[in-house]
Amino acid sequence: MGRILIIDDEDDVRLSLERRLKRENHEVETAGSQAEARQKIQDANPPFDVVLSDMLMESPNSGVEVLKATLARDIFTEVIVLTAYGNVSNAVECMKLGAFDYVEKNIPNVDVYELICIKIDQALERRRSSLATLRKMEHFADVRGTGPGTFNIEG
Amino acid sequence: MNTSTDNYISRTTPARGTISDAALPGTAFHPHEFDVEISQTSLAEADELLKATLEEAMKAVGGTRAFLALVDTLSGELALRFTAGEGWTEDIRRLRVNIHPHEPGSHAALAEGKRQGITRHVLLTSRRYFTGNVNADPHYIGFFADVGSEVAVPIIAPGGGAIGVINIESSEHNAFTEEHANLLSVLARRVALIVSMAEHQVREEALISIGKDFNSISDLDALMQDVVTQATKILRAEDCSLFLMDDENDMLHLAASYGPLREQTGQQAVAYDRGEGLTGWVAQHGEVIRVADPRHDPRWKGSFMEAPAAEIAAVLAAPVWTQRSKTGVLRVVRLRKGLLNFLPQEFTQADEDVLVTLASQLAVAIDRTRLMNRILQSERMAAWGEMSARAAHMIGNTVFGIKGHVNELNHWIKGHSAESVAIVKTDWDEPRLLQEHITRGIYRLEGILGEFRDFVLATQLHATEGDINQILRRITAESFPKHSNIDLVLNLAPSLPPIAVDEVKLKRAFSELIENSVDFQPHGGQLTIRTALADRDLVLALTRQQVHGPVIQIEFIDHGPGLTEQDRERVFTPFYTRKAKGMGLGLSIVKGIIEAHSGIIREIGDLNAGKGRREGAHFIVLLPLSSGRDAKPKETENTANQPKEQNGQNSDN
Repeated sequence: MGRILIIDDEDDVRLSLERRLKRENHEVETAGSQAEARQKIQDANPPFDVVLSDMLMESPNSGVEVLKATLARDIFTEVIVLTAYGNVSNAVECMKLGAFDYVEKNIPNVDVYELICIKIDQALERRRSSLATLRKMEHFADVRGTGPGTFNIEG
Repeated sequence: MNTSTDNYISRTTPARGTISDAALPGTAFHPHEFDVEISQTSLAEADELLKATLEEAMKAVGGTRAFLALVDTLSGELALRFTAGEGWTEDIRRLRVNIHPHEPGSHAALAEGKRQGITRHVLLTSRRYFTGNVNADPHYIGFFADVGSEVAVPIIAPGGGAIGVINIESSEHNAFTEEHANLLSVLARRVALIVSMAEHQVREEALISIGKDFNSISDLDALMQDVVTQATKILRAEDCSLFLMDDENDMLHLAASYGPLREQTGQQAVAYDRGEGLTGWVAQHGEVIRVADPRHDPRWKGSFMEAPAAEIAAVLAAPVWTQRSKTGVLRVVRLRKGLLNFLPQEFTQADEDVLVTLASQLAVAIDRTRLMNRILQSERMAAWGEMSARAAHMIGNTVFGIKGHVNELNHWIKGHSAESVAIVKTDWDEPRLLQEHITRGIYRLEGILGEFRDFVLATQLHATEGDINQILRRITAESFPKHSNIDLVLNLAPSLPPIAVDEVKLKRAFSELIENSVDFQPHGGQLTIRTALADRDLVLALTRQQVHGPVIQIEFIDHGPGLTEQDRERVFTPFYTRKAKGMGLGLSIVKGIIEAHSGIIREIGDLNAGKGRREGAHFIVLLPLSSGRDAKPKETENTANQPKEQNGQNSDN
């Protein structure tokens, strides 16, 4: 369904998310650090559809760094930030910078994995619609011969 | 002539002929009584001067023998300090003259011819005396057989009062004249000056050594005790007590004492209201009180506990100004001693200076100790908050991972059980049950983490203007069980003023109280939630301080089992719980949230229930309107507990 990159420094989190998302028929890659993530995002061809990143890894702002790297590669890749329960201020900051949404990891009495799957589906939906809109615009521009054809959009 | 009169007592300890081995007049201590080492130089110098003065006096008036006696204020005796001339033995030098003043009517003794001794007579009358023929003198008692005439002058302290006697004798009769006595009086004045200088020196050194104690004694209680002990000795007092103002009830409580009150240190009985009596006056006005015979002072209330009022001769009290709490009082008391009533008993300006110095040093020490404790406390809190936040984060991450694994396991079991039941009859109920247990455990673990996080974050407010009634309506709608056999009664006062609160946090606090109430009434009951503008008197009674501006009062009253007297205090402490589930942080989180709003929460039981068993819990929350505006700065003040991931505002959504 979608190409997804999971970024978390916790092995268990990476493993269980990977397993679950693959079960949902996604194509999944993982990264265990901010640096590894940045490399994978840059090298990805085509770019990821959704990047699911932990907020706090090497630094409290890891999520923001990942977000910036992602948008630099493809401005229509959707980013979902994972954050510890209750510590949402940075996640909110990420949303202002263009992240799709954030999910708190330990919400009492909620199956957060289920929630993540739903958010990823929504994110994929938005990416599809964004790309469709863009293609229409490109097409329109091509027809007019003045289009911003320099947009480096793939997938 | 003889040395066995009642009035002369032979001492087993030899008088070594220096002023340092016995008390100095005007100071009620032996220098060696101090723990500190007092330099002997100044005293040795004084000794030399005194000895030389005595020799000079003897020569000046042409006497054959002389002695200088000083009052030992500890024993109340005259001691021979220095002698000049021939024939003095250690035995004679060791003599002490009993100077008990005559009781009224004891003139009879005189009439009977019982001699009292010229030296004592001079001391008690503070007047010079000379006799041409000692054998015919009504006062004379002698050490030697070859004495013809004698002259004696009192040594008068600069502040008044006789502290000793210079006594010179001659083997001839009628050897001394008024002229001689005049000469001796001048020398006696010099002696008094030398003694008072030595006294000052000793006092100064004692003060310096206390100063050193201020730096070396880190335990405040020990330091306070040290200061009152030394002050009692330096100021020749019977009692020195330190009273500190209790911030909570605005009363002066005994913090340290040397003397009759020592036993009662820390007891509630020894206390003064601000403004009550001399001590309370000092605390209220921040000024020194120095009075002789306090009974004649209009501020006197007669409530000193050291001794009966009639026995108190002088009171000196100085304010202890501390930066961080209210003024305390350092107070010394001299008793009216029949024994030495010829000595000046009022405190002098010099005494006052000493006490004021001690009081200000003490204030600095108290401030320093409190500051240190605060720093330590906040460092501890910061470290603890940091550790908790990190731990909670890591545990949360791990739990999240495990939860994913269990989900997958669950999925796997579901998938396989369906197909395997068909093929081989495997019993999948058992693993499914185990998986359920694990899942339940993980959910519970997440609940505990949530509680923990709320506790750490309780004091970080994000305040906005809110309506308490509205908040209560919303929270009851959200967290009060839909189907319950507990009656919910909302009794909300209309038109409460808006108040700056962190609505999310406040809802968390209120819902905890509601949940508690529901949990403790499993068989039904009632929960009444009431709001009102708080009554001034009630606020004062509960907070023990004046709160400016309106205060909103929120009550949670139920028909559950209520709290015991002990529980009433304990329920708000962390990790105390009467319920099986949870960490026991619930009410401590509530308290943290309410206090972060500058409010208070108390469990007051049912005040109207009378003496019988109290039924039901009755929590009362007071939120001052004015402090809500201070809530914002509080946010930054309490960065200690803030987990790393955050930088600034918090929200619970």
